[in-house]
Amino acid sequence: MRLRHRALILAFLALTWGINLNGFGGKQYDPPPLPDDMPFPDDPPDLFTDPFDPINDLPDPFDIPFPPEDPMDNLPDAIAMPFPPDLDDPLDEPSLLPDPFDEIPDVPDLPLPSLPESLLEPQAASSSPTFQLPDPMPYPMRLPFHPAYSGVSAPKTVRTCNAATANTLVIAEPRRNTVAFMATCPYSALQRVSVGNYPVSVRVTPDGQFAWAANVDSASISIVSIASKTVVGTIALPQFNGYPAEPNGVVFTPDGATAYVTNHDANPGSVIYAIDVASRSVLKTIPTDGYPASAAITPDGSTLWVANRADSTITIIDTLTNTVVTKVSADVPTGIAFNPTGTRAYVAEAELGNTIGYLRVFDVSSLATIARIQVGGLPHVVKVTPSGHYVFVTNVASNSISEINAITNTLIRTIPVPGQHPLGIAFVR
Amino acid sequence: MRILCIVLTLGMAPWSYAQLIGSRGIVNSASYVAPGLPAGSIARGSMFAIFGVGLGPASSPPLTAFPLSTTLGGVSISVTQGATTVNAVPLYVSASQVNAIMPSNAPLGKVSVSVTFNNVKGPPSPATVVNASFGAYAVNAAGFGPSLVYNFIPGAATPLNLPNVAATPNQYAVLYGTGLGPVAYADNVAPTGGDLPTKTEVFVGGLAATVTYHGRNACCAGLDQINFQIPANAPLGCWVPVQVRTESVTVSNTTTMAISADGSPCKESGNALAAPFLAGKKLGVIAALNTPVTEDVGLAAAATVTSDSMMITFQQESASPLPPFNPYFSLPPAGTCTAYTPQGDMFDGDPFPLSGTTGRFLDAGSSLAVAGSLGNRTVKRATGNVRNFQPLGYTYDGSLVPSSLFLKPGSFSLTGSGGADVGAISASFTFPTPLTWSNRGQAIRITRSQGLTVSYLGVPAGQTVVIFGGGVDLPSNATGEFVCVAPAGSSSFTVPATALANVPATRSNLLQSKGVVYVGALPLASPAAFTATGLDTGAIYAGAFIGKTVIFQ
Repeated sequence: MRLRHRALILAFLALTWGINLNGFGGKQYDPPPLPDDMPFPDDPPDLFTDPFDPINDLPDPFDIPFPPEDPMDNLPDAIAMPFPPDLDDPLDEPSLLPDPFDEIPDVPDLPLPSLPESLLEPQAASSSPTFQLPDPMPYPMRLPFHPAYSGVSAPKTVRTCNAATANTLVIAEPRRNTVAFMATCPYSALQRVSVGNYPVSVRVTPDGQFAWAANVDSASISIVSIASKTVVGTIALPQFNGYPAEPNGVVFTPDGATAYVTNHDANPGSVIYAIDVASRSVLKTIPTDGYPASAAITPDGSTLWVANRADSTITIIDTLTNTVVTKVSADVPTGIAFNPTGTRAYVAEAELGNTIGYLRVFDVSSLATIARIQVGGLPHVVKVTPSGHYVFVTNVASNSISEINAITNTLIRTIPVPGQHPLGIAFVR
Repeated sequence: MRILCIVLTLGMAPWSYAQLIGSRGIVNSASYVAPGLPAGSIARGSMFAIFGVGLGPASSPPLTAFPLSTTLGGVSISVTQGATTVNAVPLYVSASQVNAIMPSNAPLGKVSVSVTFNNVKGPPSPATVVNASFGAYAVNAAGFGPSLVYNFIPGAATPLNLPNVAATPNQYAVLYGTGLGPVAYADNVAPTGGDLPTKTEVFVGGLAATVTYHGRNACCAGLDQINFQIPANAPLGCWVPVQVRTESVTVSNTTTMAISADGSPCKESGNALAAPFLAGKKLGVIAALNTPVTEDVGLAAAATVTSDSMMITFQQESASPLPPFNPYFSLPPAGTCTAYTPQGDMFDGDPFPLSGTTGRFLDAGSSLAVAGSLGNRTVKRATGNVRNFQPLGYTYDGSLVPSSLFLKPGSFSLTGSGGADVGAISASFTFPTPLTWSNRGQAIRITRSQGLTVSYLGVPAGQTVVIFGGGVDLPSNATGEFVCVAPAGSSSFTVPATALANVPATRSNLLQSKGVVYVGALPLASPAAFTATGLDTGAIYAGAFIGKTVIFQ
C-alpha cells in the first residue's frame, strides 16, 4: 500500500511536472543539511523503483474542469446559431447602413419629464459609500444560496432618491456642441458646457473628476472638469493613415490610467487611440477594422473589445501591451457590455433591415457564442445591471428598450420609449 | 456577396486564432488560486500553469536531464514587462496546458506572458509576479482537499497522509508545493537544498507549527518542500486544515491532513457524514436552511432578505486510492476553519468545485414533497451539482409581494416515491428555533488581518455552530470563502486571520464586491436520520443561518 501510494503521488507529480521519470537519469539526491538530531526524511521517495503508469494509475487531473468554466468543455457550436434570413452583406452598400450619429435627435428641452424606470447614466460617481440599488429590485441582490432567477416580472418599486448621493447625468449634445449636466434627484437642468464640434459621446473618468467628450468634427477630445463645469484640456488626435480623426467614443481602464478612443472611420483609417490620462498624450495607435461603433473594457481591465460594425468583427486588445489579441465575428456589431465578472460579453448586432436586431452573448474565456437573442431594430447601446442578472439594449429603429434575463439569456420584455431613437442608457441612484 | 458572407462566417466563426491563453488562465500550478485573490499571483521561481488553446503539441516530450531548456516540444514562454523579457522554463507542454517555471529574475508586478509554439508567437495574457506566494499541492490536483503531505517516521518510509494513514500530534511531516521564492542560481539546473530566505510559517488547524526546513526539493526544479512538526495540541480529524504563510503576508491555499491521537484512522466524531462518506457509502443528504440576511452594504437603507431553501442529494463516492473530498461533507474539525479560493461567484450560483461526486448520483426519484405548518413544497432532486439549493420561499423588507417563507420552527415531513436506486422515502424533522448572533450589528468592516470574532447565544440543543462567509471580487471573478466549525458549548468563536487572508478586499465601488458572513447551527453530529432501501445513510440537516453583508478590508 505504501509503495503504491508513493507511486501514485509520483505519478501525480509527473503529470504536473510532465517529467518522464523512467528516463530521468541517475541524479544523486542530497538531502538538505540539517542538524543531526532533527528528523528529516533522509530517505525520500525513490524516484526510480516503482514503475508507474501515469495514464492509468491516477484519475487524469486535467479531467477536473478548470477553470470552473473550462473553455474547452462542451463548446457550443457557434456556426449552429440560426443565421438571419435576410442578411445583406454590409460590404455591399455600406452607405445604406444607417449611421445613428447622422440623425441624433435633439435633447428635449431641460428639465426632462420623469422617466418610468432608471434609465439615465450615472456619469458622475459619488464619493458616498452607500447608495440605492440602481435597478428595479425584483429579487434581493445578494440572496444566499442564490436560486436561479426565473425571469418572473419584477414587482414594481418606486424610486426614492437621495439628493445627497444621487448621480449627475452628463449628456453629449452634438448639435449644440455642448455637454449638458443634469441632476437626477429631482431631474433638473444644471449647466451646459461648450466643447468641440459635434461631440457624439461623453464619458466620465473612473475617479469622477472629469468628463471626456469625443468631438467628431474637431478631431479632438474635450476634457471637462466636473467640479467647475469648464473645459480644462483638449487632446488633438492625429491623423491615421491619412484619415483625419473622427472620435466617437471613449472608455477608460478601471484604474483610470489609460483611455481608449475609437475613431469612427473606414479601414484603413479606423483606429483606436490609446491615451495616457495623466499626460493626456497618445501612447499608441492600434489599427482596427472598419467603423468601430463602440468599445468596452472587461471589468478587470485586462482587455478592450472594439465593435467594428462595417467589417462585422470585434477586435480584442490586450491593454497591458496595447496589442491585438484576436478578432471574433459578430454581425454588424454596435454596442458592447460585460457582466460584472467579465465572463460574458453582450454585443448588440444591428441587422440592416431595421426591424430586428440581436444581442449576441459571448463566453469571454472561450470566445464562443453561447446565445443570440432577438431584440428590436438597430440595437445600439448595451447595459448590464450591477447584479449581472439583466441586460438592457436600446433599439434605435424600434423606439424601444429590450430587457434580457442574463441567467436564461431570454427576452423578458420590450419597453416602448417615449420619443424617438433611444441611444444612451444607464442607471442612476 | 450574401453567400460569400455566409461562407466566410461559417468557416471562420469564431474568428480564426491559432493560439489563445484563456481569460485568467495563468495560475500557480499547485494551488490554482484565482488571479485577483491575494494568493493568486505567480511567485518567482515557482511552477505555474497556463491554460488555453493551441499552446503546444498533442503530447509533451519527456524531460531527460538538467539543465532544462527554455524550449520544450517547440514551446517557449516569454515573460515581458516593458523592455524586459525573460524566458520561463517549460516543464510540460500540450495544446491546452503548459506548465513552466517563472524565472527567479522575472520582473515583479504586472507582466505579459506569451507562448510561442512552432515559431508562432501567440497573443499576450496578463499575470502578476511576486517574490513569494506558496501553493500547496493537493492529492486530487484541485488546489484544495487532502494535501500532498507525508508522515515522517524516523528510520522508516514516509507514508502519504491519508484518512487511514493519519499523522499524530508532535509528528514531523513533509509538505510539497511551489512558490517559496526565487533561488540564487539558475532555475533550469538541479536545485540545491537549503532553507530559502523567504519567511515561511505553517499552520495546522490554525495553530503554528514548527518549520524545520523550507526550500527546494533537490529532485525537481521549482518544487518546494516544507518539513514541519505538527503541534502537540493540534486538532484531531480527517480534514484538519493546513496553510502556509510566506513573508508574514501571503497565505496559501488551504489543504487538509488527517490527524489522530495514535496514528489510527482518523475520526470525525462531530460530523456524522464523515465516516460513511469516506467509506464510499450510499448517502442521502437533505438540508433545509432558513437564512435571514441583513444587507446594508451598497444600499441606501439596510434591508433584511430572508430565504428558505432546501437541497437534496443522493450519491455515492467511487472507490479510489485517493481520499474523497467534498466541501459540503468534508468539514474541518471543531474549533478550526478551512478556506477555499475558487474562480467564479460562489454567492451567485456558480458551481463549487468538487461539490459533485467522484462516483455517481443515485436515482431516488425526481423530487421530494415537504409538508409543514405553512403548507407544502416540492423539492427537485439535483442531477448534477450537489449544491442545488432550491428556494422554498423568501421575503424582504419593503417587498410588495407577500412573504412565501416556509421553514418556521416546528415539525416537517418528507415523502418521496423513490427511484431506480433508492426506494420510497418517508421522514420527518424538526426545524429548530434559530440562534442569535449577538454581535451581528458590529460586523460591518472586517479587517482580515485581525480575524473576526462572532458571539452567539441560544444555540439549539444538539446542534453545532458553523460560521462561514467570504467575499467575491466581481471584476476578477474570484471568490474567497471560509468555513469554520465552533467547539461544542462555545458562545463565541474567532475566525483567524489565516482563514480570512484570501477573502478579496471590498472595492471602493461596492457594487464590484460581495461580502457576507453567516452564523448558524446544524445538527452535524446527530442529524435526523431516515432510511430507504438502497441507502446506507440518510441524514437531514435543518437549521437557520443568520447573515450579514460586510466590508472586508
